[in-house]
Amino acid sequence: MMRTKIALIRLSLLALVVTSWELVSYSGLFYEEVFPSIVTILSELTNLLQTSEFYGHTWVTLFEVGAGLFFAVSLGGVTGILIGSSHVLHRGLDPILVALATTPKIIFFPIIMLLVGIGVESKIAMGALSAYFPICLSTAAGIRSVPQVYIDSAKSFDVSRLQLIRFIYIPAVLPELLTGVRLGLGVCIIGVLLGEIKISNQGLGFMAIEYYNMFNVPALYASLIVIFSVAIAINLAIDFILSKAVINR
Amino acid sequence: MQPVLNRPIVVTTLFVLTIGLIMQIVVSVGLVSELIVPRPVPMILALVEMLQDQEIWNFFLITFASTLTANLIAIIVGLSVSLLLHYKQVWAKATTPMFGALFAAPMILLYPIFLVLFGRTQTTIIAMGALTGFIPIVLNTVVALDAVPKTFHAVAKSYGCSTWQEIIYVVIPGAAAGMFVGIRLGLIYSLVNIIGIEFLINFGGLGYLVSHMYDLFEITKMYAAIVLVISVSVLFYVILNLIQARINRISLG
Repeated sequence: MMRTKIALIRLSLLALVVTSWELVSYSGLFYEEVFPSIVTILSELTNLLQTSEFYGHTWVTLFEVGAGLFFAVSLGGVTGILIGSSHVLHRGLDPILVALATTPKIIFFPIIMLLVGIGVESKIAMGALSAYFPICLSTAAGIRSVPQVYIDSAKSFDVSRLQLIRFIYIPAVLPELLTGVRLGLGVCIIGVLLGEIKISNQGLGFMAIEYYNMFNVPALYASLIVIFSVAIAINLAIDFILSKAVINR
Repeated sequence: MQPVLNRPIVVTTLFVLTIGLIMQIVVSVGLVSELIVPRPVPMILALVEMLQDQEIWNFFLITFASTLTANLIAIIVGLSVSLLLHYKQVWAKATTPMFGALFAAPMILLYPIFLVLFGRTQTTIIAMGALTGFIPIVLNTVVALDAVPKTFHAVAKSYGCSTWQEIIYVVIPGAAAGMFVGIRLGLIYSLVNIIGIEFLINFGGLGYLVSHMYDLFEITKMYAAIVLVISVSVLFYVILNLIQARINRISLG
């Protein structure tokens, strides 16, 4: 009974949004181009999905997100382990990392452009920078939560610092690292797309802003639907891969 | 007595000084051009000069006012929606996952739609700030309102309070700490998104300042502007955390 009610409410909300949109579209309150009919947007979406350019842009964005996440995991994982396993580094650097994590990363984009240019590399760097902070902070927090008894037991076997990291910290920190990767992926996608929007000649962000510049609003809406769908699909894919990785451990 | 080098503030300061020293060395040795990375001392001087310029304070005020206005809208709408969901639990169950999905979605990418609707104006920036601030406010307020003990509601009813009196004198004070978690997140999200959009559309306050300096290729001033934005974000974060701690202390008695 409750489930039916919930489903009905969701359907009603969807119907309300669609009806309101169509009413506004046909009311003449806004310039027709600003609020195109949903039919027009869906037709643009179908056209978009049939072009080869769309798939080209999608692959560029997927590559940038993948490469950005790879660098963020590598750097964030290593520095997170170092910061988490050293009391001094943790107390000294954690405030800086937390503070930087709350700043808008896009303002670093001019520095990135100066350092690596305006090509694909700058978007990869932007994605990596965005994802670095949640990954590093989660890893460091995971290291800090390793029970002291594990560390004391290992030290009683006279292990080196590297052995301590390899056999105690890394296995213990994996769940937190995976949480960091999940959080990092979301911001990595945003970083890459914002980089493409700011300055680029390829990628889904570039595609959307080009439609805006040409004032092709139905195509802009269609491209945003695609971007949100791609973002959700990437998130679901990484969730699936990570859950498999945890089960296989 | 803790050794000097083990003190967090010493490590933090040493880290910042090391970054400055690295910048100085790579530029002095010629590894990196001064057109890409400025020397730290001229950058600090540029920052000091900026802080003496009234125009920079105007940029700061524009960003600050946009963030507060956006959040005022987000708080009013968010609180109303949360109260409605608190008293209609089936609606809460139906919509909370939707708000959760929106919270994870890259909402900032919707800004071209607002550009189409409102143009390159302050309204676009405020609307985007309100939208991004609204979602964490709703998600946290619903949880906070639901966490108010049932006894509180029962006591209010036993004194014959109307629903509105119950909301004003019992529910909101009882949920204040949890509600502020949402407001704090909303303010941080809004500020981040507002500065981001200002940077992207070359309009408004601090975000515009960074973008403008890059466009003029005033590299030293651009770095100084980035340091300024980081400082403002950190200050904002610290102040909100202090307010949160104070509210927590008051609400826990």
